[in-house]
Amino acid sequence: MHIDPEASTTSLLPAIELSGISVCYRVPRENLSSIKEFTIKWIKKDLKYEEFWALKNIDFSIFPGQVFGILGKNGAGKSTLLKVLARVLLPTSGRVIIRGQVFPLLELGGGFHPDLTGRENVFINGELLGIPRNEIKRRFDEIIDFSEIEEFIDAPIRTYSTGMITRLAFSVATCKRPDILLADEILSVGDVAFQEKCINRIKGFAGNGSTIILVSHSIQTVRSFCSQALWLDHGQIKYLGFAEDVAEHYQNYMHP
Amino acid sequence: MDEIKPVYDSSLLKPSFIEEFLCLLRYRGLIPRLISRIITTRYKRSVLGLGWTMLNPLLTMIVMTIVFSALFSNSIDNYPIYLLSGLFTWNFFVNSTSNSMSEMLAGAIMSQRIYLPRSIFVFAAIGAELVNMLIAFIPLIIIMLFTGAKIGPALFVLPFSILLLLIFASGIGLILATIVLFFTDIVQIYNVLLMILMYSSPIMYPREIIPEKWRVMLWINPFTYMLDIIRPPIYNGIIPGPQAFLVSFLIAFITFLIGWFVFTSKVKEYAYRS
Repeated sequence: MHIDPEASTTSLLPAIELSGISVCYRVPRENLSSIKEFTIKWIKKDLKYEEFWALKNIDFSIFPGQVFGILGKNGAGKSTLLKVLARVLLPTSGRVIIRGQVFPLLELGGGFHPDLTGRENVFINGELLGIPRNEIKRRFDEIIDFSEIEEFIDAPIRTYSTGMITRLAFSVATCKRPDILLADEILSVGDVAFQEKCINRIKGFAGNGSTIILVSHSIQTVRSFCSQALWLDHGQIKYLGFAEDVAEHYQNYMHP
Repeated sequence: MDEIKPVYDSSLLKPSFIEEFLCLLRYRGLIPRLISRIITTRYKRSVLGLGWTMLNPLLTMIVMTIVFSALFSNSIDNYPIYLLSGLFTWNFFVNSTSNSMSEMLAGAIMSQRIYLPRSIFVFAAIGAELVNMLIAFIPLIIIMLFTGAKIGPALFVLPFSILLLLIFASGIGLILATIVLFFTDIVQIYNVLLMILMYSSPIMYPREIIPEKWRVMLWINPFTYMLDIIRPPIYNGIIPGPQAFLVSFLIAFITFLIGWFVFTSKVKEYAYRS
């Protein structure tokens, strides 16, 4: 296996440390998206909020080089947990420590502008992810090679197929070995050949010391790629440990 | 070889008005990129492209001059320049603040997934409009030459005047961008407010036509003070006095500070909304 010289050697500190993380959403009982409704309700003193704990007292650590799976049903708190890890959402209580730069691979292509060309989007998307412009320039050919859309790179994104967008977005987001990679259902997109390429790349990152977090509905995915895993249920950790064991428990729970 | 990795510790975060500023400093290189994205996407699908920015003031001037010259030609010399210098300022204010909202909404999708200083979208919107304003300055100079307006050294104070306008607009833009995340109907409400503001500012008419007892309307209108530092150098070739600058400076900075605190205190909550 190719070893990245930039890869940090075994460091004893966890890449991600979560202690006592809770997230409470305070949602209005009715959907208040206009000032008019809000003001009327406010004057009538009819503003009612409901508290909803999306995450309750989550504790775990992930070490560099681990491929960590997060399993759970819809609404179990997986997206909220990802937002906390991506630093987009500050938890209501608890402490998060993240060592390294986080690369989110969520909902690929979300940052692309339809009227700009593939080339223009590669640059802007790379920079939104925090990769310096000259570094993108240096890796540009590599990005295009990997995405296999060379002929269309100067056409506007709106003319691309979903598969092409996905491939390009994945290539940009993974053009550089990330310290921490957040992947949300990433392995369920694209054709089989491209999926294989993605998986190999991700595995290569992990081999070189990156921390990979994989969110999935699929027990199979977690079983085959992850070393450690976590099963979230109603915002709480139901099971935490080796991926094999977690998958086993989850499987028994889902299909007894 | 152990590289030094950035460490994020949620317990060590500074108050959000400082944290946002530090984060914005780190991402400052992104602002020019976002500005060029806004500008290229705006003109990408139109034939005339950037030409619109030049043509727009020309067409506006022709229409407005024909309509209003009969009314004001006796009271104002060189009405086209009086009008255009006002519209030049007004258009910047309207577009930059309105675009702050639309860019914020467009960027919200992004910043729900990737860690970014969210105020970056407001500053990009304001910056893109500044570029537009500078382009619109070219036809303005041409019209000034044609109509025989005084082009003199007073124009050199304009960069400073425009900077103050920029700070003022950023403050308003930050407040609007905060509100729009929670209440999208602010866009419509703001349009109504703009209309009121436009007719209560001496943009198209000379301030003398406002009756004495209604003059207070101009005094309480912050936009009048912005006009006071931008119009005289263009229209009369006069450098505004230090008092005019001081008042505008105070208005701009206070508005900006209010905007900054409102934005940074509320914008984090948005991640909790969806």
